[in-house]
Amino acid sequence: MNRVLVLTYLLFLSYLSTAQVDTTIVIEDINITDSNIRSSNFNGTIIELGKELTGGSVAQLIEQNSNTYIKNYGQGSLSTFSIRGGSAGQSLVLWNGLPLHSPMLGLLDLSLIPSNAGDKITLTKGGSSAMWGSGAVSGVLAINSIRQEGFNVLSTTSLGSFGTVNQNLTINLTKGKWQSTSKFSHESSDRDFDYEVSPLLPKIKQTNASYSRNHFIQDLYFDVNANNQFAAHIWAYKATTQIPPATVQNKSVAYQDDSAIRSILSYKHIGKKYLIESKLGYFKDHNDFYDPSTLLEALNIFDTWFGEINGQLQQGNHTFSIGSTFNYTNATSEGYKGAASERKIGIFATHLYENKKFKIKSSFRQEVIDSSFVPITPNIGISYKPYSWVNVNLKASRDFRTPTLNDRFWKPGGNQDLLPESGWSQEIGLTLDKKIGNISSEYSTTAFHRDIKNWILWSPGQDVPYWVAQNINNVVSQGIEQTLSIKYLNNNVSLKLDLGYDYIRSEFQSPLTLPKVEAGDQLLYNPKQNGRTSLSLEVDNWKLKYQHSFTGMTKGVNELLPSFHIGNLTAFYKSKLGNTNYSININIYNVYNKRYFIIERRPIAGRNYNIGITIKY
Amino acid sequence: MKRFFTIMAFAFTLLNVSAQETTVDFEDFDLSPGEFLNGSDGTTLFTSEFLSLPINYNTMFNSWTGWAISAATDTTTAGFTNGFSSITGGGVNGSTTYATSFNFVPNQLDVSVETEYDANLNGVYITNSTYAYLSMLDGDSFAKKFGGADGTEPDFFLLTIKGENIAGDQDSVELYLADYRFDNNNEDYIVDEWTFVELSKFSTFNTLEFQLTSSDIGVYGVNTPQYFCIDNFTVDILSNTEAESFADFKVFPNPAVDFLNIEFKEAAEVTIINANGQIVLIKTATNNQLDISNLHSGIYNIVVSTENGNATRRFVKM
Repeated sequence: MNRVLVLTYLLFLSYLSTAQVDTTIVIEDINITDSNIRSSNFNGTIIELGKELTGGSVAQLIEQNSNTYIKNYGQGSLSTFSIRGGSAGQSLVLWNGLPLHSPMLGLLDLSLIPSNAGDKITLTKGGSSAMWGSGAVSGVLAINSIRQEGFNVLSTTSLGSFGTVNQNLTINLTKGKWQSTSKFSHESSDRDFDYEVSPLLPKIKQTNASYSRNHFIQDLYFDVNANNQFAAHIWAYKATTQIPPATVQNKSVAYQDDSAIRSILSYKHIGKKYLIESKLGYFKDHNDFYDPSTLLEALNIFDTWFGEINGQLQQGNHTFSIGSTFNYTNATSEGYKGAASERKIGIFATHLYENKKFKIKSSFRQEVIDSSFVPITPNIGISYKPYSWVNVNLKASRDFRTPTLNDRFWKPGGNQDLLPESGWSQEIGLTLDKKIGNISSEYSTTAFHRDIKNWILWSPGQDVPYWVAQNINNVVSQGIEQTLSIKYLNNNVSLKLDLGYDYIRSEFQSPLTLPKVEAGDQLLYNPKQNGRTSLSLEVDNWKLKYQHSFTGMTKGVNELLPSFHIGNLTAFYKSKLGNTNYSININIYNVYNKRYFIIERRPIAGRNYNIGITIKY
Repeated sequence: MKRFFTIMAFAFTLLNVSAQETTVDFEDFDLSPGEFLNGSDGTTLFTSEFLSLPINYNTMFNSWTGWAISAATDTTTAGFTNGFSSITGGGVNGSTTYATSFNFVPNQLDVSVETEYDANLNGVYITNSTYAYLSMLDGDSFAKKFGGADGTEPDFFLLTIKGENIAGDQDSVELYLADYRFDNNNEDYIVDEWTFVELSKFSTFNTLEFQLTSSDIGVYGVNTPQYFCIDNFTVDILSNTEAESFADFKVFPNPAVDFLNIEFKEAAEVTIINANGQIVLIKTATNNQLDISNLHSGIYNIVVSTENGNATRRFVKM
C-alpha cells in the first residue's frame, strides 16, 4: 500500500507540473465541498478544534480541545466519542460532507483519522438529522478540506515515549485554474509501556501493542471559471494494529488490518443569487481481525456509493435550500454468511431567515431505507441577539439513527424488522461575549433534553437460543453544558483561561434482564460529569499551556470505573528563519502519572512525553 | 474438592459391588478422534441407553446449543472455534467419545432407566471443555483469567445439577469446575481431569438440569464460556439373583422421622450412608427398628449386606 501511495503521488506531481498555467482565479471564501446553509448550525454548540497537535489522531484532537468524552482502549486503539450522552453510533463523522462511519457497526474508529485529515475540523453538538440524515442525533464532527492558495510546504515530525513516531507532510500547490493539496501522514508506536496491576506486584510491560498507520490524502480543485468549480478528494490509508492483552489476560497475539480508499468528486455552480452543488462519492473499506491463538479471522469489506445534489437560492433575507442524497452500501462479512446491501434515499429542504437580530432556520428531511420510510425529521432553530454581547439560541429537532447492517443482517440475531432509533430533542443556549480593555471573555451555557425511542440493544431472543437485535428501550438524555473563556492580551503577552463543565444524565427508561439494566441506569461508558480547564501563557514566541481534565465515574460492562483527573503540559516555541516558519513543542501527558481506566481491564499509559517540530515553508 | 468426589465414588462403589452397572459412555456413536455430532445432520435428540440429550442446530446460522457428541481432541487451541474438545483431549480413561454441553440457559438431559428391578443413579464424570479451561487460565477478549489481574480475586465456575430426588423434591449437587476462593492461592484450581459426581440422590426417571454460574459476570451475563463435558453416566441396576434374594427387603416409613423399620428375612449387616458418602450407622439386624432420630434431615442410602450380596434402598430423614 505504501508503494502505491508514493507512486500515486509522484504521478500526480508530474501531472501538475504539466498543467501549470499562469492565470490565477480568486475563489470565493466558500468551502467548495460544503454548502453553507446546510452545515451552519448556529443554534447548536460549535467547537472549532485547534491545530496545536503535531500529528496524532482526531480522537486526541477532540479530547484535548473539548469536553467531549472519548471512549478508547488506549493510545492508537479503537476510539469512539459520546456527545451529550449519546451512543457512539449517534454521533456522525463527515468528511467533506459524506459520512465516514462504518455502515456495519454504525460508528467510526477516530484513532484511524489523522488530525491533518481536514483543514477545518468542527464539532457541532446537538441533533441535525434534518440536514445530515442517520446518525446526526447528538452531534456531528465535520472534517473539511479547505482550498489553500499559493505554494507552501508544512512538515511536522514528532517523537514520543514508547517508540511513537509521527510524521506529517502537507504540500499546497496553486497553478492557474488548478490547486492541489497533498497530505502524507505516518504514525507508529510500540506502545510497550509499563503498567501496574497491584502495588504488591512488579509492573507489567504491555505486549503485542504496536501499531502503524499510513495515510495519503489528495485534494484537487479546478476552476473552469469563477462560477463553475470542480473538486476531487482522495483518501487512502492502511493501518495495522496489534491488540494487546487486557489486564486479566495472560497474552494476546491478535491484530487487525484496516485499509480504505475514499474518493469524492464534486461540482459547484455559483450564480448571482443561487448555488447548485452535486457530489459523487465512493468509499471502500476493509477490516480484517485475526487471532492466531483461536484461529479466528473476521474479514469485513464494505463499499458505499454516494450521490448528492443540493440547490440554494437567496431572496432578500430569505435563503432556501433543497436537496437529495442517495447511498448504496454493499458489505461482505462472514457474520452475514455472504453479502448484505442497503439503499438509502433522502430529500431535505431548509429555509433560513435572518436579519440583524434574528435568525430562524427550519429544515426537514424524509429518508427511505430500502422500502421503509423513516419518520419525517424536522428541525427548527432560532437565534436572537438582543445586544451585541448577548446571544440566545433555541432549537427543537427530531433525529434518528437507522439500524446498522450488523443489526439487520448478522447471523444469528440480525433483525430486518428493526425500527430506527428516533426521538425529539430540545435545547436552549445563552452566550455572553464581552470585551473590557485588554480583557475579553465569553460565557456560554446550554441546557438540553433528548428522548430517543426504539433504542436498539442485543438481547436474548424470546423463542430462539441466541441474542437478537431489538428495539427494546428508550433513553432520555438531559444536561447542562457550560464554558467560560477569559483572555488577557497586552502587546506581546497573552494569558488565557478556559473552563468547561458538563453534567449529563443519559438514562435507560425500562429495566431489562439481559443486558442487565435498571430503569434510570446511566448508559455504559457515559460519565455524568466532564470537566476541563486550560491555562495558557504566551509571551513573545513562547507559549506554556496546562490542561486539566476531570472525567466522572462511568459504568463499564463488568464493573464501575472510578473518576479520574488528568493533567497535560505543553511548551511551545515558534520562530522564523528567512521564509521558513518553524515551531518546537514539548508535551508531557498524564503529568501526575495517574493510573486510570477508560475501558475496564485496558490499561492507559502513565506519564509520557512527546517532542515535535513543525516547519512551514 | 477433587478428593471429596473421589472418596464419594469409592464409598459408593464399595457398597454396590453386586449391583450391575450400566454406563452411557457415548462410544456407541462410533466417532473417530476429531469428529463430533452437533445436529447439523438434522438430529434433534441424541439417545444412548437411558439418556436423552437434546441438540438444537440452526441451519441458517450454523450454530448449536444443547449437547454435542464429541471425539474432539484439541487441548491447546483457545476460543470458540474449539468448542467441542474436552481439556483431557478425550473421554474418561482415554476413551474416544464424550458429550459437550453449551447453552446460554441451563442445559437439560433426560434420564429414563427402564428396568424391572430396582435401580439407582450412580453418577457421571465431568470435566472442563478446552475453551472454558483456557479462558479461565489465560483470559480472553471477553472473559477474565481467574484470579484477576493480580491473581487474588475469588473467582469460581460452578456447575449445579438439579433434579428430582427419590422423595420427589427438587434437589441439587454441585461441582466447582474452577475454584479460586481459597485463602491460600496455591490451592486454587481449574478442573483438568474427569471428575466423578455422585447423582445417587436423584430418581431414575428425571430431567436433570445443568446450570453454570461464574464469578465473572457483567451486564451481558456470564463471561466465562458456558461449556463443559460429561462422560460415563452410570446407573446401578440390581442383578436378577440379587433382586430375588432381596425381594422382601423393605424400609418404612419413608420419609421417616425418628424410627425406620427394616423388614428382611435373614440376618444382615445394615449400613446407612449419607449424601456425602459417609457411613453414619452400621448394625447387624433382621427385622428391626432403627433409631434415626440423631440423623440430620436429608437423603440416605441404607444397604443390607448378606452372603448373597448387597441391596440398597433409599430413604428420607425428615
